[in-house]
Amino acid sequence: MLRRLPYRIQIPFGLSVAVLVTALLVTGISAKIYVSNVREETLATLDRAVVLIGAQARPMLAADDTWKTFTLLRDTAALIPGATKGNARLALLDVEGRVFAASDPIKLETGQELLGGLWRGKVLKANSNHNDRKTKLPRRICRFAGVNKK
Amino acid sequence: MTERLSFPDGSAVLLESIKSEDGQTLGYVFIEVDALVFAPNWIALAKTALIGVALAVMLLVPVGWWVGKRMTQPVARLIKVIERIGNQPFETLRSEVPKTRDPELSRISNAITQLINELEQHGMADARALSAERLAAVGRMTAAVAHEINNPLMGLLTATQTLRLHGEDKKIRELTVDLVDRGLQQLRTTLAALLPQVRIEDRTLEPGDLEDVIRLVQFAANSNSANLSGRIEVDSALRVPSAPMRQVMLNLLFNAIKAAGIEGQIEAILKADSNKVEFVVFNSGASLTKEKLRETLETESGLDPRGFGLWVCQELASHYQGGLELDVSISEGTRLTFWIPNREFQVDEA
Repeated sequence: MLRRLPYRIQIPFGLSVAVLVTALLVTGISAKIYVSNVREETLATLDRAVVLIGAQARPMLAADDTWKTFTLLRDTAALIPGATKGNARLALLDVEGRVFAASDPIKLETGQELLGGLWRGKVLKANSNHNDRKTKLPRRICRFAGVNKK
Repeated sequence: MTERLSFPDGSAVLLESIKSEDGQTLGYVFIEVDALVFAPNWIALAKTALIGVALAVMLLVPVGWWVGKRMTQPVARLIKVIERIGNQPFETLRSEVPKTRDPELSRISNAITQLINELEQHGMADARALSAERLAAVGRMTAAVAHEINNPLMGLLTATQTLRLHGEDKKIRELTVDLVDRGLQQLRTTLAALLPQVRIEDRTLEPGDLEDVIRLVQFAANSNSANLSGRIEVDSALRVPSAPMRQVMLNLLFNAIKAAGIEGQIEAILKADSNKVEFVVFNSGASLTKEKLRETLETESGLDPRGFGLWVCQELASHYQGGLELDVSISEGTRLTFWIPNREFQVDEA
């Protein structure tokens, strides 16, 4: 049909279509880049939140203060993307890799051992080889969680 | 350093150790994020994309259209120039051929300019040829007129000589004066035929016209020592105009005298019945074939202005819805028959 049109119409029409197709292609590529950036930005936000929560939780872990830890998790949950809608969970583990406190205690039970075990088919390992401080769960927490002390 | 674990469904787990001041591990921060958190906000994205596409359509598409039109503008102007070749002055067209820096369009423009120049030269050459053709036509017409006037003129000069020598005899004087009068009338009619604004009533043919014509051409026959005789076989009243018939008779007789040669025989017969009037001329010269007659007529019609006798006869035959026919039944000599319908012709028709 385009070939039936006169030359004076074909060229402007072709150029206009080329511009339109280019705009659509640019939009598509931008969308793909945007999707990729969204994941990277979310992970970066999570990284910053992890560092912040780690710094905030350090004195509480040192003091074995469970309640303050829970308070901290409750107050900082808003920093974690999706946490308010239940799509993200935050937990602090003790030195042996058991849940010390969690934002969602139903899914992450206190005392549940995460490190060294399988988590959805993958082994959770700490990346640190430093000397670990052997801490024990406070007695009252163990009783609360029903964990037998080894 | 935060450890990340990604799962096939898109979810991720982050694990970060918490260190004390002296570098000992106090615990870990564990975050589990579902894949849903990483999903982009498609609605917001679509809104942005739609705004981008809408802007492209509103701004870039018209710009693209304008650029395209601008690109094709020289071509469109060239097309307009080509379309008007032959309808407008070449100078106007030449000035409207677009001058561009584009090498390809420049080549097309130069080619069209060259075409216009050549057409202009052709037009001028055609005009010159037409002018020459007109001059040639005028020359041919002048030659034809001279031929038609010259034929009776020689007879009239002979008649005046006769009048000078034998003018005392009353009978010869009256006969000669009548002959001169009819000859001059014929010349007048012949010339009047060339002037559309002049309409002269022509008299009808009379049997005596044949005798006049024979007298007018007698001098030519005498100069060739040829024997010229005439016969009248008129069974009905003659209603045809005299001037064209006298013209035909003169032409055919002069041609016959020329074809018969020295001491040749020429016989002229004027026949008439209620349907047609015929003038038959026989000469004893070389036989004329149909092809030769056709060639002679074609030559006389255009290219050779020297002889118009037979061509004029054929034109008159065609004009009066008659014919000029060659008798192919005879073996020796040539017999030509000119005939036209025996009826009155209106002045306009004639």
